[in-house]
Amino acid sequence: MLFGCLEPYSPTVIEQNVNLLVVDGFLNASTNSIQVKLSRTLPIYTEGSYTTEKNATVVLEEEAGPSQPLYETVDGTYVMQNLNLNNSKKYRLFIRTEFDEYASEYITLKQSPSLDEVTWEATADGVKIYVSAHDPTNQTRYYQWKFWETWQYTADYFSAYTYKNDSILYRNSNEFTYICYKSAPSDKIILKSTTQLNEDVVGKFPIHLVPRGSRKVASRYNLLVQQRALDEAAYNYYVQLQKTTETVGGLFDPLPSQVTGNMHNVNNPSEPVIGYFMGGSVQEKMIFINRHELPSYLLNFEPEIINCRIDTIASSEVPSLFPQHQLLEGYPENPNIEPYEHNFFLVIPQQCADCRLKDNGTITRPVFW
Amino acid sequence: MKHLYKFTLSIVFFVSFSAFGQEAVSVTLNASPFQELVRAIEQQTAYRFFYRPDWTDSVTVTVTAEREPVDKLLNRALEGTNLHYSIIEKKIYITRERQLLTELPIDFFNQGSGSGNTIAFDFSSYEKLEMERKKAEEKIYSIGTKTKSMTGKATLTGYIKDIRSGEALIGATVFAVGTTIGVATDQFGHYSIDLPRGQHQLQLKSVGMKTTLRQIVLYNNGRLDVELEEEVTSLKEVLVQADRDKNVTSMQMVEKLDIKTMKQMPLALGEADVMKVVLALPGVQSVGEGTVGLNVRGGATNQNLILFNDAVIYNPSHLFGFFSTFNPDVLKSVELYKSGITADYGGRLSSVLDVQAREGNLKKFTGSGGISPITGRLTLEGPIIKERSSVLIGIRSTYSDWILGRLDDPALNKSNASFYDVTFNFNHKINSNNSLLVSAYTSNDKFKLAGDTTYQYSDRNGSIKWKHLFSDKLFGVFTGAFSQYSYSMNSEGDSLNAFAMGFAIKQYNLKADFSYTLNRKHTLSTGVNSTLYNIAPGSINPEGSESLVTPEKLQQERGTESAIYIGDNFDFTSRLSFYFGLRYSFYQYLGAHDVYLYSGSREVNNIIDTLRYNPGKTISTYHGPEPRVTARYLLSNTSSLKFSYNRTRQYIQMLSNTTAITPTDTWKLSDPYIKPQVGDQVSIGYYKNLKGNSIETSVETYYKTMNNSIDYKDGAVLLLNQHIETDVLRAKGRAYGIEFLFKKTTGKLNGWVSYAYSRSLLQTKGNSKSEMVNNGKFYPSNFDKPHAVNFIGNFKFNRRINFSLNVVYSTGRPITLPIAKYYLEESNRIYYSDRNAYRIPDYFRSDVSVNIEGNHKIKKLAHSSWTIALYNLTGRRNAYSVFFVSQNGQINGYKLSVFGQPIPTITYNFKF
Repeated sequence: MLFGCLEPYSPTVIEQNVNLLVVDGFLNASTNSIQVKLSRTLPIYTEGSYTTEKNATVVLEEEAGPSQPLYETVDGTYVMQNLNLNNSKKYRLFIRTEFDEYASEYITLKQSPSLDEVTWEATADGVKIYVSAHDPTNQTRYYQWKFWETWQYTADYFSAYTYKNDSILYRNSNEFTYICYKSAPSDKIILKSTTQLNEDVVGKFPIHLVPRGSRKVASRYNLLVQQRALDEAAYNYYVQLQKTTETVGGLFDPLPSQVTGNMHNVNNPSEPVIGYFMGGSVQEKMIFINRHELPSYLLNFEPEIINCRIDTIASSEVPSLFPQHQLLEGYPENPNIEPYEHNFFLVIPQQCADCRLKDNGTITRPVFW
Repeated sequence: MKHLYKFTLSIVFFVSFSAFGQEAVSVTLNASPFQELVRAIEQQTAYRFFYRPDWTDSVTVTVTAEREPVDKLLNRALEGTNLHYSIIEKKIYITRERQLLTELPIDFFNQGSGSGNTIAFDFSSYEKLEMERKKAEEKIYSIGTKTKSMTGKATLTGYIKDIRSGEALIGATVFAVGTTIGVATDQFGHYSIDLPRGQHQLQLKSVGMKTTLRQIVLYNNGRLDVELEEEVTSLKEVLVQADRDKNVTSMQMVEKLDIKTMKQMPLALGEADVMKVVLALPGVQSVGEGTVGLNVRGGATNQNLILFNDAVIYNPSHLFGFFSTFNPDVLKSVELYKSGITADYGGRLSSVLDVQAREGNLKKFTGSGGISPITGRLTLEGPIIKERSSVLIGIRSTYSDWILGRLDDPALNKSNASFYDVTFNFNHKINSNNSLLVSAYTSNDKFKLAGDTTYQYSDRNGSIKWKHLFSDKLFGVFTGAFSQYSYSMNSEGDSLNAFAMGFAIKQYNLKADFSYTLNRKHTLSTGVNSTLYNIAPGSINPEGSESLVTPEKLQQERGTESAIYIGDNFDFTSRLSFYFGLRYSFYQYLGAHDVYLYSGSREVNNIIDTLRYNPGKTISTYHGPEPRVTARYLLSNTSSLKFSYNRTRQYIQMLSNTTAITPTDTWKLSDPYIKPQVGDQVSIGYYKNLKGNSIETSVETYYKTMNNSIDYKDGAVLLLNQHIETDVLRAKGRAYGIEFLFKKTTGKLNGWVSYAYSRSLLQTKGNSKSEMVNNGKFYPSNFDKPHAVNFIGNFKFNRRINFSLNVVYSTGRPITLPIAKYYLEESNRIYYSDRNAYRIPDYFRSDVSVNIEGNHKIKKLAHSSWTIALYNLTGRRNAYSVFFVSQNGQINGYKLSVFGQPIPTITYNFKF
């Protein structure tokens, strides 16, 4: 603001050891499956990864009905498929850890109305993605969207050769390391309430911006959008979570506050439990954005500084230099000879020809691509 | 006269100054005209007279001389007249009032060049005034019908005024010399003093005015009006000199500031600012810079009754609080009651800030103003009927749009902000027993911050005050006032969601106050008042045809608040005085309004029924007594003890879940669920003056409880909430502290140092977890700042250059800090501590300013001065807020400071 100034700040006073259970669970009534992730809080400036809550007993309980247990797939992640769900019933999550028992409140399964369309627009700020939805029955009112973005990208150089079984060979198509795919979930909470509107209509609501200069759109970009319907309490919880952890504090922002969801410790109600257990049907839509659809100003990228010095080595050196060096071309040039018959190879550092090293992507093409 | 002087002086410069070789004269005159004396001397000697016949034609001379030297003869002959003579080489110059100087002042020729810098004195008018003053002081005034019996007492009343502007002097003292009887003038400059019949010498004093004396013989009840002259030489003195012994002797525990004090504060943006001066007093805090909200002794910002000419001001800030809404040029006085609130004030819990504008000049047309890169202001005033009625108009506006547009930051370029305010005052003295004061005020703010939302807010009010003197002992003041505060918000960014939102509060107030001097020991005050509130709590409307926003309007709120009070100022002995006051307030919340009924805890889901009340129907009633007691005991002539107890009730509250006053804060009347706030405060103080009252010291301590304070549930929604009671918590407040003040009021170096230790705590006890903050334990309020130190110093280099330094330190305000992190919804999240468990870094700021006056010629077209100020000298980045954001999976803490660098300003002020 006027003469204002923002600077980093890290208070030293925060050294309390708060160790609380974090529950991240969603009951998907569209696929009749459930996934619950259990973890623990960490002191604010602790380095390192979050500890997961292993070997817990997690059960989905129907109000005045049967229980359906979940099983642990990876540490702290509990799932179950082919659930027997009844939209008119209420469900809750029950968790027994080594020391305590936790339960959620009973939730009703909210039905997501149709996700009408996912559209995009090239703007000066980048590619903007919008959703439109409506509920003719005016029942939904509170919407949440999640998305997973997947984009294709390439290495700087294409290597046709590989070295395996003590021999220089042409790569099989599944061994090419030129084209990669990378996925990332949305890390923002995207919410919209239509309670202020006459009709339960979400018109072209922006959910995402791929900023100008991002290489995500350099080749081909995909976005899977999932729409969930929330009840008022869940909406308020997410608004609160969003407010306290995502907004930039300014002169007019409200004070942060503790966010408590619908979980509680059965034996010790004063112990805070973090997370909100929700469930309901979802609606999904996917879009692709191809390079040729974009205006040229969104395709100007800052050059990447990678040391891609091309070298020439004798074929005999390949066993000791591969895979740190990738083979570009063999000499003498002769399309009729086998790769191992070349005397020399043009080589390049691996990160220049292996897209997996560049952005931590995968060469496996997603099934929907 | 002036010309004669110049003429004679110029002669004097070129002739030699010796005067000897006198000749003798014989003459006998008996009540003869002055010319006879002249003729006699000129005939018998070579002396020649130079004089003005009009000065001497009424002078008669009675003298007998036998061969007497001329000088001796003249000495005797002129004795008892106002004539003087000077002899220069056989020439005798007759002057009036003072003798002609026959020598140049010492060091005359080394005084430097140019007459422009020498102090020019208008001797003629100076002497005229001097003489009139002397005459008035020496004259014996007979008061009242003459009677033979001179036993018992009589009452003397009258007004004390500024001789130059005719403005009433408030707080001027009338003191009978040689007795312990003294009184001060009220807000109209009126005084009433009971004295034993007989002869008295009265001493009349007021800040910045020359002290004068009056000799009276008091026969019976009567009146004496006195006009005081401005103390021109006080320029070299301090102006923070209120009534010098008031610190000790005053009954009130009130901080009183006059505009001159305020003008000496270093100025952030080149203007004197009431609120910033008030903030330098011990016990007054704000949550940070860039806000004008006051927290007085641990009270919330909405618990202060801010009055401007008797009308309530709801938002005292301009431009995010960088300016206060009071134009410094129109102000007369500011009074802050932190405790010892008298029974005539009511409606707010913590304090009363009573700001009064000046009356226009009754004698001549004058103007003043100033211009800085940010604001410009102009005040014009003058008589309509000389000595009887006058007007004053003050206008102030900003050019900050221009400034914002010129900053480098693109976010600021897109912003704009502006404000203006207009003050109008009309006063008319109908006759000696009736006077009328009409005032009006309007202010408007508009800003748009790098976004698409325009905010606008305005305060508008007016008042009519009629003062009537029923008798010498009884006077009444009848006031009608109107206040309105409104804001609006327009968002045009996204056509589907474009909206206009608004809030407005109107209040109408009628009151009658009476003051009755029963006898020397008792002064009674009593009155009634009644206020009608009308609130439009909020509405939202679509903007444009595409907008899908549902128009929504919260129901109007209406309520009345009435009170009756009586108070007695009781001088028990010359050392012990009391004030006993009792106020009884009565409040009704009126229909038409819907009231929701809840089963169990107040959650939206628990609404079971809606009760609909018809217009005018009483929905809920609250009332209660508000006792007010103050006592003062004089330990000695220079020290005293004071005690006060106050109960206050507040029927209207501000809803705001941010720590500062923002324009989107709304006001809410007490209703069936939101109970009125009730506060009790006990305060004890010790006051001691040193060095002939030039140093004032005080220690005050207080303990305060507040019931039904407002706090909010986590994440409360306050705007357009149909059932606000579901988000509001009822908190119990507790505040206590001790305040030290050391003030030097006179001398080249003057100013004050204050230290306050204070705590402000809240507690919410609800039925469910969401209704309790920090599990129902006491926690620090948002403005709990235990340690605060203020220093204000002025140093007068000379008559024209004044240097001021202001240093502020306080503990950082409480904050809710993140204490743990967790991963949820694909991002790091933060878990916050208990509410207000930690503090932001301590606040420290120092400002300097230099005020350079133009020359001190009394008669010139315009007086002007330059103020060069540097706000936040050290450039310390005081945290306005601290917050934590999850960015790219990292949790980052940020500190926002509002004035993060030294801010220089230069202002040109003028007065004509």
